[in-house]
Amino acid sequence: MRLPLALFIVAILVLAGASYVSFYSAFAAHVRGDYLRLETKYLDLDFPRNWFAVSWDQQNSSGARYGVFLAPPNLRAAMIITIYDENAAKIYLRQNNISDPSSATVFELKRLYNWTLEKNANATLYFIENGTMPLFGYSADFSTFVLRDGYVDDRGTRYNWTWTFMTSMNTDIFQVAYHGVEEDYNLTLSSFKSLLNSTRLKTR
Amino acid sequence: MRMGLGSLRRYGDLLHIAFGGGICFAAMYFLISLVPAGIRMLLFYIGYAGLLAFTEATNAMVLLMLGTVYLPSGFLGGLYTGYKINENIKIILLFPAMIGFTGLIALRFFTGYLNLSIINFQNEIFIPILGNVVGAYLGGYTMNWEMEETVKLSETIELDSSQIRS
Repeated sequence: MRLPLALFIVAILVLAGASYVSFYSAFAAHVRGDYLRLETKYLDLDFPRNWFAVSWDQQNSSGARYGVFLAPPNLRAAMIITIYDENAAKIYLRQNNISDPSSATVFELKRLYNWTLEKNANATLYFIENGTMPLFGYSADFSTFVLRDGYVDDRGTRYNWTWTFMTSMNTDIFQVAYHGVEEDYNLTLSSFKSLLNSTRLKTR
Repeated sequence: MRMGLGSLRRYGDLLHIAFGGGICFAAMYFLISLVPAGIRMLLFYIGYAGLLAFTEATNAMVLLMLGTVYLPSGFLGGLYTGYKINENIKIILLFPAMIGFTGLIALRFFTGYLNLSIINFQNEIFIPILGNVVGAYLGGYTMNWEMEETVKLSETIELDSSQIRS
């Protein structure tokens, strides 16, 4: 066999082997039974091992913004946790003219509704519940609402889109949103709630 | 106006380099849409789709992409270029790799899959270039390896006329 060809095959085998080892180390380090433990700078959470999860960390001179996105497989539902550190929180409040958790929730709701209207101008918004609830051991303002015909899939079919959006504010800001097409939202609501209850914050 | 043999050959070489780059790009485009999706499906099938949230798993994906997408794509481009061109391959093999890489970046940029303001230099620039270039050289030299050995042999054999018997 020609040497370059042999080197090519060896390189592929070595890279595939290293990749397997790396996958296995992720598996060994994070599996907790039927859950995976995501430990980050801001929070720790256990999520079902077959859910899709993405975390991000945006840091610059104006502060840090951290987020986690979680979604169950085969369902049109997702959960997003966003954390603003003290500096990022100040800028978020100043830029959007927000003073308290309630106005933050209203601001995000309006932003979402306007975005939905771009997809479907006939989408309507109605509220199911507003109030306060505990979030990470603190009080948070929340709003549960439905964007009627607000979710438009690739084939153009419209669905009612249910959201729960909550904001807790101290020196930092914590925002949690879970949403989904109405029936999928109802199927995953208990999972979202138990996931939220098991989440441990590190920043406060 | 007549075209000289040398310029015709140079034009042909350019065409082969471009075609080698095209092979590299086409292979990369095909594999890049196959391998990550395949890994996600496999993880989903075994019930561990969530593993992709962790740094170790994203590093594993990068290694796998290098070994199964960028390296083979460069290899195929280099294989063709090395088959068609036998001279100056030390320099020439760089071009199919770079053409393939540039094509991929352009395609991803114009289809909205690449945002230059938040580009990940290691995963989106360095690793593809590394894989393509190394692959192209391995491919090109695979085609020319035997030829180099033959050339070396012909240089060392000397014919002694006194040993020839009629």
